[in-house]
Amino acid sequence: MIWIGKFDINEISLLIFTVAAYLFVVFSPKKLRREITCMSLLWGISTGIVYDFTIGGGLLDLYRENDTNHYEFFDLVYYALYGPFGYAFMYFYEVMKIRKRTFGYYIAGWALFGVLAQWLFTILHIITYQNNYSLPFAFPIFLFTQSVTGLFYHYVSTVYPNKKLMEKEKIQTE
Amino acid sequence: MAFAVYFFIGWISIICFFVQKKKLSVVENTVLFLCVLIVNLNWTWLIYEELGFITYSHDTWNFIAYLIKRSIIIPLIVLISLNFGRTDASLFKKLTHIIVSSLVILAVTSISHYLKVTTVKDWSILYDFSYYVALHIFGLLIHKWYQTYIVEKENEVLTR
Repeated sequence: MIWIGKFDINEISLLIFTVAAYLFVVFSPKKLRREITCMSLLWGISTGIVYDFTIGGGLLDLYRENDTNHYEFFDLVYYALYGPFGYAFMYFYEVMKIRKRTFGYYIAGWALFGVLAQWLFTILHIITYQNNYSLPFAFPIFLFTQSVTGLFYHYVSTVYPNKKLMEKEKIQTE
Repeated sequence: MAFAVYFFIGWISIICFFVQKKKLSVVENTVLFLCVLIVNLNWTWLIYEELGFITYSHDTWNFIAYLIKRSIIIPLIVLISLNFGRTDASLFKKLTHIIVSSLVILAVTSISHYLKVTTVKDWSILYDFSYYVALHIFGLLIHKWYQTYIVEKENEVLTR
């Protein structure tokens, strides 16, 4: 476990990306309810952490984040960066009015965007692949993750709003 | 053997959560599950990988059993406990739920030591118990924060 390591391109770019991403969350027009925003940020962060602690560490150890394989402060900044990705997924799902017909295109688009982001992260030394892992493997992982996220959000958005609308009507009648 | 046991325990946890009469909404449950999962993943990483107080088996199937316990069973048992009972239950009842639930997780942990999925080096089961109780309390605090700063603020917007 180290504190920061060598402060260079990966740390600087992570700070820029994370600040820019959270500025997007704060200043984007409100399309999602507060509960969904909170859930989407946590969904993004936990997805990143689950993958990092499952395939990015342990027996597989397919990639390294930042300077070492050990825990460091900027790993937390990296995990925090995943939050706005979760938010953006659900935000644009609403903005682009994704339905069953467009669901596949939306997921594939996000998977390609994920691979592109991973490629950028490897160039900036935020992620370093090891143990025979390479960028093409990231595509099925993203495809699977975004599909699960999309299906889950579809479920939540069909179950949750009805309850909220009922609450709103109840509040208005009172 | 360990994989089969933990797959079964994981399956039971999912079924119990599915059939349970839940007092929290789907979004509340998701938020709580994810918060508990994040804390548990970081905690196990620190204790197992960084500090080496406990080690996990390097056998592939045992390692998958360890992943099931870490990522599914523990957060789900905490979630089942938080959904248990009435919203206005007394502090004593809530504390009883937490202790019983922590003992269940402790039993699951003991099985992992027994089946050599994990090996204790410099650790006490009492530390584990304290951590599981703290994890439940953390869940309750997150729920309180969520109700106060997320749900009530949203309701204020709705009533405007």
